[in-house]
Amino acid sequence: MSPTIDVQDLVVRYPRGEAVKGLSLTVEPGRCHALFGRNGAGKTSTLRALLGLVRPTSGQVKLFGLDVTQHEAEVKARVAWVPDAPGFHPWMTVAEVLGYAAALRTRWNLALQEHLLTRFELDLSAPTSALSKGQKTQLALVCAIAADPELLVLDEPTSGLDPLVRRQFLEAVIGVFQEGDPAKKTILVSTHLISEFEGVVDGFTVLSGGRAVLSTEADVARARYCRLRAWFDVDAPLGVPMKTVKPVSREGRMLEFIVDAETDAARGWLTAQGAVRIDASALSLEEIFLLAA
Amino acid sequence: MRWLVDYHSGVPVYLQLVQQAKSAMATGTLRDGDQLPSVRVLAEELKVNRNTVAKAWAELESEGVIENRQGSGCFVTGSKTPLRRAVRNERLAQGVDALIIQAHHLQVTDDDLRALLDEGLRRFHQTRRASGRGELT
Amino acid sequence: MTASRVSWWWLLSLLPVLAAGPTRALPAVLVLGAVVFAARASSPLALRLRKELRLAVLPGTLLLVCSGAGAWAEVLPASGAVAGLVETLPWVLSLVLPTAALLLPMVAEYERGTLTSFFLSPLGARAFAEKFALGASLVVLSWLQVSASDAPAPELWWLALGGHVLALATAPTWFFFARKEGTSLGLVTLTPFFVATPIGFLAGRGPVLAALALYGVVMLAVLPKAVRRGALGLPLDEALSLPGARWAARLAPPVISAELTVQRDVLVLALLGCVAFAGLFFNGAAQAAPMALFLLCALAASLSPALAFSESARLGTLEPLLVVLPRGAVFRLKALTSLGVTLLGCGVVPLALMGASELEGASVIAAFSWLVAMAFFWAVGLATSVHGAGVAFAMVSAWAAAFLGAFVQVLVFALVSLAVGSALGSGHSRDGAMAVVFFVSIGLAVLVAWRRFVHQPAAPARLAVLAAGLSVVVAAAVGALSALTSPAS
Repeated sequence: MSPTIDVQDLVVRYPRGEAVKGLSLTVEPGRCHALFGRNGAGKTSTLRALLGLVRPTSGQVKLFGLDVTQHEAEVKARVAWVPDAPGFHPWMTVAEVLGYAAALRTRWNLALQEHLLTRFELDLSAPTSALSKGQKTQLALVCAIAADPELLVLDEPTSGLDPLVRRQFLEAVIGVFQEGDPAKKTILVSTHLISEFEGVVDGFTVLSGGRAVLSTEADVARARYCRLRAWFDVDAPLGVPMKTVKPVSREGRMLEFIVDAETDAARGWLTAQGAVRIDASALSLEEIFLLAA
Repeated sequence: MRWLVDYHSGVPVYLQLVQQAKSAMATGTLRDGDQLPSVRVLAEELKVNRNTVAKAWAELESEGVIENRQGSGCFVTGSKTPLRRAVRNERLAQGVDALIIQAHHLQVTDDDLRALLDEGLRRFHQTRRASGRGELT
Repeated sequence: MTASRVSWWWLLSLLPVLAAGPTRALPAVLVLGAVVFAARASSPLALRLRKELRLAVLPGTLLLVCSGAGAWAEVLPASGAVAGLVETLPWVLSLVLPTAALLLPMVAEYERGTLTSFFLSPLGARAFAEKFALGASLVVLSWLQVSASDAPAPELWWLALGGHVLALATAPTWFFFARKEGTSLGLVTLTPFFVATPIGFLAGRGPVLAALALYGVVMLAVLPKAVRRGALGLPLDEALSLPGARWAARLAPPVISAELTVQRDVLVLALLGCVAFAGLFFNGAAQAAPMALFLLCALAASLSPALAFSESARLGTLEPLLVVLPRGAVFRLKALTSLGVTLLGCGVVPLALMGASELEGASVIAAFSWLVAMAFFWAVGLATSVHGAGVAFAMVSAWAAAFLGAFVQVLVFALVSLAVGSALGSGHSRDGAMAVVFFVSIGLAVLVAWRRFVHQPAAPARLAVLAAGLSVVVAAAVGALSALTSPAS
């Protein structure tokens, strides 16, 4: 089976400069992949190229094994998108928006739509101009999920929302979108709120300056990077013989460093150096992002 | 029971769930015939990927600890299997290792450590006899 | 646009004024002084002025160029209806452009959210005064330019005066009411309309009535939705919706219905153009009536694609559409709906109205050329308002920009027809050549729009320039060919 997302050497160039400079990315079906990056790192441009909103300057973008520009209709029927600031025609009511969205789709799951509307307590007769930002995002999610897509693209979906709405959003994505056929339901999310998606993402790619600087599995990354803090009876030793990813911090009797993949060796070394206490904690994805970006 | 995920432990999330399930069985929180939460419910509760929970349950099933009954969910079955003893020992061994390291750092001698352990066990059994059954989980 | 380029635009638009004589030169010198001061000095005042000039560059220079257009009619060889158009243009546009020159910089600040800083600043009142002073001197200058030429009809003189006075009269109130909400802005905009209409009816002053009707129409059309909404606490959008459009929207499938609703305002504009036409016609200004109707219909026609594409990009509804449908399908859906609405609202309805009023002007502008002209405005509007990537329109607002763009189009249209017309002489061959030029331009414009939207070339601007150049070459070739085969009598 071909990967859901297959991007090779993607370059997106705008008149004002290159936003994506040779990015490759592969996401297998049923997985949740995240794009992390600072503002302007190229996340949104990558998503836009995937969604066919911008034509790649060069490189290849395939979804479900089909070229996005050549098989537009087939690809678009299987993709849904929740933007960071969803727009609706202001005069439409929630019910009209749903009818409109359904009219554009080949598949529409009414039962799912009803379920989500109840879950989010959205009023069908409310005009979209009267909806709060959170409700607009919820409505956009209903439109996306009810179309029964195989790939759900989320672009900064929860930024600027209150904690309760963020939680409901995430629960709906996990509980409802992935419900149908978990092996085929793929998610690509670009976000700044990394800790929120910590448990949801299977793998992630850190973008910086339009390039992928780190692309790995979430569990692998967490097992790889470890922050070690050790206390000694005397002054802490100078120099750590293991591979570290950040400058070693040494304050009197305390030594702190982040070790890359050699946690056990580092522990052994610390014990051999006479450490009286060693604290070890794996890095969260957010901390790993801060190191990589 | 309460399921917890610690992203700072460095242990893959699915493995954490497996370990938690096993230790819950070992300590009696989960008993024979108890139902595990469904993949969807637990994934939503913990805000983790469904695949993660599904992988953990699949792992438990392949070890014969739980049984997936089509349509009604996953149930604990493994209380009689020899696996239980192995799991307990494995889990305890980790704790014992940590204890030994800490004792070393605190410069407690091996004999003192053994004495402390005996003392702790004695107190535990006393309490257990007084209350009639094991309370610790 | 860089600061120096802004200054050049201002200087260019001021040059003809400076050359025109002492009465007009005085205020022009004042504005010129402001431009030079803003460009050269480095004081906070110069900085503020530079910002104001930058914000007002589009409506301001357009106002000066249009109000000075009367002078061109004297210079250029005039012939027939086209010369009449150029002569009438500054007078009719006087109704709208002064208000636009005063209000659009304000709306720009409102939309960008920079207006709040005025209210929080201790120098806010001074900054407002400067804003108003610049706008007011532009309006005064524009009036001096317009009134320097003879009005083709006395009604037009009243119309132009009304436009300038209303702009000056309502602008200060805008400044006072421009709070963070659009509510009071809409109220202020509509108040003169509501107050003066009954007076116009009672006093029987046709021009006043017509002027105010037009003013109201244009205010409603030119102001961005954010400002229009909630005027008088009423959802104006709903009140404005045509029963017919609603009915059609109910019957049509949701996708077409949504497109029709986006286009609703085009129908409103065209319909109110018909009302203005009737007002002028029954008040004895039958001569000016077809011209006013033509102008408003042309505006509505070129606004239509801008509404279909830019407005939905601004609302954020274009991208969700592009995510689910192929680009070509989106283009066809939007362009065809918009063309249908244009031909109905700006073609069939006004033509029927003119036919019913048995007006002499109606036969001058034949039904076919009217429809072709509307299609031309529509096509140019399409080519300019479509943008490949579908990103948010960078201008003040798609609405205001499209509307001003439409004015430029009418102007360019008049000049091109004038030039081609005089080059080819008179007779049927000229009409035929004109039709060819128009059809070629329509085809090219649609092609450019298609290329830009569906294929997203890396440099859409280059393509547009290429197409424009090509159409000029085609026009020139057709002109030369006609001149050879049928010498002017």
